[in-house]
Amino acid sequence: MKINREQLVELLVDKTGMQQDQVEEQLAELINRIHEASDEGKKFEIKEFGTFSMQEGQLQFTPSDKLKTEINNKYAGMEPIELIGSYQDADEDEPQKDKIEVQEEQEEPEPVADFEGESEEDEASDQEPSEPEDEEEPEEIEALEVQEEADPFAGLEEESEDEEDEVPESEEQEPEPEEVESEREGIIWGLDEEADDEEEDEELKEFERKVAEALNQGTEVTESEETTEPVEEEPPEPEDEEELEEIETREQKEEEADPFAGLEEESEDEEAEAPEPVTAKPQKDLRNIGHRRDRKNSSTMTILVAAASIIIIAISVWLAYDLGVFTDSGSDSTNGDGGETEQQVASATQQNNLPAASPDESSQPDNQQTGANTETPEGQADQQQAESGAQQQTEPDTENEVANEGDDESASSVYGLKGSLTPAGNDGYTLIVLSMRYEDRSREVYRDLKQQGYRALIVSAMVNGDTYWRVGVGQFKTIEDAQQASQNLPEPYRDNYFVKRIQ
Amino acid sequence: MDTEFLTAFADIVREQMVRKNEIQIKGLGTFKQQHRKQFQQQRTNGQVVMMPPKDIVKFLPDNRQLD
Repeated sequence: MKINREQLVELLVDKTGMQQDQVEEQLAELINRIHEASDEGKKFEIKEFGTFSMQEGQLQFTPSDKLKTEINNKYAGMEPIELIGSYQDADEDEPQKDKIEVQEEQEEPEPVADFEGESEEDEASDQEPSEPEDEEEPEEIEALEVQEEADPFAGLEEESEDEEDEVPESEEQEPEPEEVESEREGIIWGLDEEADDEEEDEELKEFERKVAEALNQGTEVTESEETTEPVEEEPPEPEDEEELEEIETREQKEEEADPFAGLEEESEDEEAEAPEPVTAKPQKDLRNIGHRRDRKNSSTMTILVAAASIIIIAISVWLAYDLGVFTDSGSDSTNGDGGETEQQVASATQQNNLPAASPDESSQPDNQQTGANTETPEGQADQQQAESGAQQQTEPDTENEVANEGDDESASSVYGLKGSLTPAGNDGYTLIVLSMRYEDRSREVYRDLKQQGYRALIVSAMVNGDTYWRVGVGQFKTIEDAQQASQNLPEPYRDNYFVKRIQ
Repeated sequence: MDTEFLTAFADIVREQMVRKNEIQIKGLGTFKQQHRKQFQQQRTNGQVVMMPPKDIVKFLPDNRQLD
């Protein structure tokens, strides 16, 4: 049905009681004001109705929340239904498992490392990640050598000087753009310095120092496989003596390690990884010696702590698991706990019943639901009768509940789920629980609900030429109130209703 | 134009909208109720949801040159 301006004016006259001239005047003024505001780019808001605004050269209307919910009351409260779960949830689960596995892998060698013979395995495992890199690099190196055959040597000299303990001379000798990298390499190459130092442990004095240093470093090595920090802590004293010898070793290395240096120049990312294999191979034995001594002395503490914590966790888990078993066995053995077991059995059967019952309800077609309707309300009616009986007897236990109910009823006398219909509440909303074409059946349900104390009402509605008799329950001021109250509906209607304006 | 008129105007238009009536105000535009069907929607996280159907307010502005 269309309502044009004339009909609107009539309705306004009825509603406000003003003269028709006045109403038309006001309406014209309202329209003018809306246009003026929108022309100036302003918004014109009518409270509890909506906002007019100018967008894209056209007058737009944005309904207020109240109007939106009123219009949408048939579908109010419907939520989007998930059809296919998000794949991000699945992804989030998997990495967690991976992390756990990684942690387990890391934890495994620690308790074993108490034995001397197996400490070598730890070191081997430490060096394993660097060895595959050796295999990968030569391929890249070949490509690089083809591109720049002369550069690798120059690059090596520069970097080999960088390797030499960050001597300031190296920077002077390097006019080329390695300065920025040298800062990083100072950290990255630290491992080589440490290694180089160890390489010159052939001298006994230094060897003794190295053992002392290695003791300090060893703890860090065990904790973090990347031994970048110890370099900074190293005493700079041996550097002068070492330089000469280092240069010799560098020269030997240059021939061997040219490709790596060339590679490192071009790919900064691999610099962190590349230096390790260069030094690791010749120095494995020496380093191993140092690490073995480290581990024997210093890592025992960390290993003990880790092993103790793991054992404690294992014991606690085992106890927690066994305690559950103990309670069951205890209840079986002692007579006094027999009641508990019975309760457990009862609760278990209840739990079994619940999931079995819910699918029935969901799968019940309407015919079966109507059959169920008659049953469950009776049960609730019994409960209510019992409550009313309790009210008459005024037992002390139920007094509080009765008082609360009385408060609720008095507070929401105009609106509410229970009680009797009030004419003032007819401007609100109701929960339509039943809508069918047979009047006698609808009236039967209506009487049932009314007997149970619900604020029932019955209305007829024309839908596609057929007359439907709708049974509503309750009077509510807002749709939200109605939805909240729907939780208190008798069971067959609780999930099967819709909110409707009473008038 | 007083508030009493405004509230009465809002009440009446809302009331008629809820009754699925179309309100045509010459010089301003037409308010009517429109139904949006349910539709499937895929979210950025791969979740596919069925959005519920809903009724919305549709406002068609009048052509200004006519008034």
